[in-house]
Amino acid sequence: MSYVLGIETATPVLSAAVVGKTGLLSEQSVLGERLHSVRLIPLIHDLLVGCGITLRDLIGIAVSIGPGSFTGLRIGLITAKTLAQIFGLPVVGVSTLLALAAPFLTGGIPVCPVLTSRRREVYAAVYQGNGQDVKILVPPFASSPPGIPKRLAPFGRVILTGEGAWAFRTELQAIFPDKAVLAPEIYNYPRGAVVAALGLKDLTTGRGTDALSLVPEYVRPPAITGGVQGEG
Amino acid sequence: MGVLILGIETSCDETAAAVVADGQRIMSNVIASQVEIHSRFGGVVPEVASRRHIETLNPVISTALAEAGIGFMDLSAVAVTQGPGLLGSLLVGLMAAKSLSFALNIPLVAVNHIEAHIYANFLLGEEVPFPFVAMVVSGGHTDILYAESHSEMRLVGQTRDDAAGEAFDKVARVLGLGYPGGPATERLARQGDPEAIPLPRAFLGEHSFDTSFSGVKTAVVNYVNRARLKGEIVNLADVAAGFEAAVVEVLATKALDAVQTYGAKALLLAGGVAANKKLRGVILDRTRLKNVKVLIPPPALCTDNAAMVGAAGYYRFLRGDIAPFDINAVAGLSLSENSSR
Ligand SMILES: [Zn+2]
Repeated sequence: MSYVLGIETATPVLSAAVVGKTGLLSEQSVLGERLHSVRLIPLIHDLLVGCGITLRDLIGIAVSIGPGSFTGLRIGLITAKTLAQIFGLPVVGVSTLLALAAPFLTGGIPVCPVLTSRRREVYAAVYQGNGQDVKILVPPFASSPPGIPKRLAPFGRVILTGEGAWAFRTELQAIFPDKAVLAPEIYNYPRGAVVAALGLKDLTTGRGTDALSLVPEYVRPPAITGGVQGEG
Repeated sequence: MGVLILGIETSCDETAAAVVADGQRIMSNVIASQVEIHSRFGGVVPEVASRRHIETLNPVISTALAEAGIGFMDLSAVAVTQGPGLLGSLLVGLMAAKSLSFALNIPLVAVNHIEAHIYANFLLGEEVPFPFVAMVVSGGHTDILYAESHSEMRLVGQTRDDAAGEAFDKVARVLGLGYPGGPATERLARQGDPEAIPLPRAFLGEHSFDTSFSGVKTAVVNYVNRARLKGEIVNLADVAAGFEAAVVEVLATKALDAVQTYGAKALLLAGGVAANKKLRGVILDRTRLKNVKVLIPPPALCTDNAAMVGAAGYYRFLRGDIAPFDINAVAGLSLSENSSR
């Protein structure tokens, strides 16, 4: 069987899953941002044991590559990269915003996933999908919440999803309900199963990449607040 | 092939991996330095460091294994720096180490960065007698430790303000020498007269092994600023030499006091500032007629590296001090904290 491990650490919800050609085998999600580094390996262990498989049964690893929490992304990426490096597996970097939008990508309706970033800003993008075919209408960007309606202007009715859309629904009020509808709150965070499923699609069409070259998609440059003193 | 430990170090601005055999033989020691990137900002920028670590750590691990001539399956354990250091940077190394331990089913060993610096001295092919006093001097630390055995190591003195290396960096900035300041100040000091400009030395009482370098740093800054205000030409080499002499005098005195107080059989130097030739010279000079073994690693093992992590990890591995998968990186990890916390 072809199994794919999906890892999602970009948001306060840590989520990982194993999917196969027939769909989901197992998924675990838990809220608690500062604990991703503590919980991730035990969670992957439990997941594999629960499925009765080992890392050697995987055909690849999919990981959410951002935008999202910088530290969270690195926790997921270094884990995916190192596991893949050991077994010579391909990896797939899945856009965190695409994973968030994916459950609503149907019928060609534009979907705008929104996540909050650190400085009262949001990360967003616009996707359009019909079955297996997904188009990126607006690639991931960072902006202030009021910047979103402007980006949605070229489209008809849009589905907004993600905790960023919920967090700033007052700021976005003007576009509801004529221009946009809000997806249910339970879909506020991207899930490991979606990351794994999107990864499986790429892996089976040969679009996996080498583990060593995968890097996060931060969208935002690092904050340069003057260097701290060196170590050594 | 004995016990082969992969050491991983990402606590600050060096991405490093090394393979150490039996805690003493370096089979490979790979370091991807970020110094050039951070020198543009005059110091280490944490987010920039973390971004660099995730780009380079996996290739660095591959190189370390290739240079050691081994594969992942040959490893006995993986040792990693848990802290102290920059949290975001530490996490990259820690999660890589956890992944290795999990995937290869080998023990995970969590190491304190200060402890690791000391263990560079176990890689010199020399016998290290207990009890010993160790002095770890770097941009982040000026720690004096007393060790009765591998598992009984305690901090007996530390800086009350600036670390020695931090003072070097700040003085270098005032002298226009750029970052990092240690090697540049040392080079310039060679051409100066260490007694031309009197600078204060803080000894903080006879029985204290604590240090303070903010006084001498401020004195240098004031001296240079005052002279420049008066339009006088500052002899930068004399300033560098005077500053270096003051710092070295304090460090050497404190280290040797500790050796005497504790009846230590050896003095181990470690950390980036231990690469300073003047410090090495003064300490070797003052211990010449004493029954004290002085160990100083070569410069490449003084600065951050992963071989020292592998060496420190070896002794924890031997005594079964294995970390669980749910440990976290700790930016302010102290020496007394157990790895399992
Ligand atoms: Zn260090």
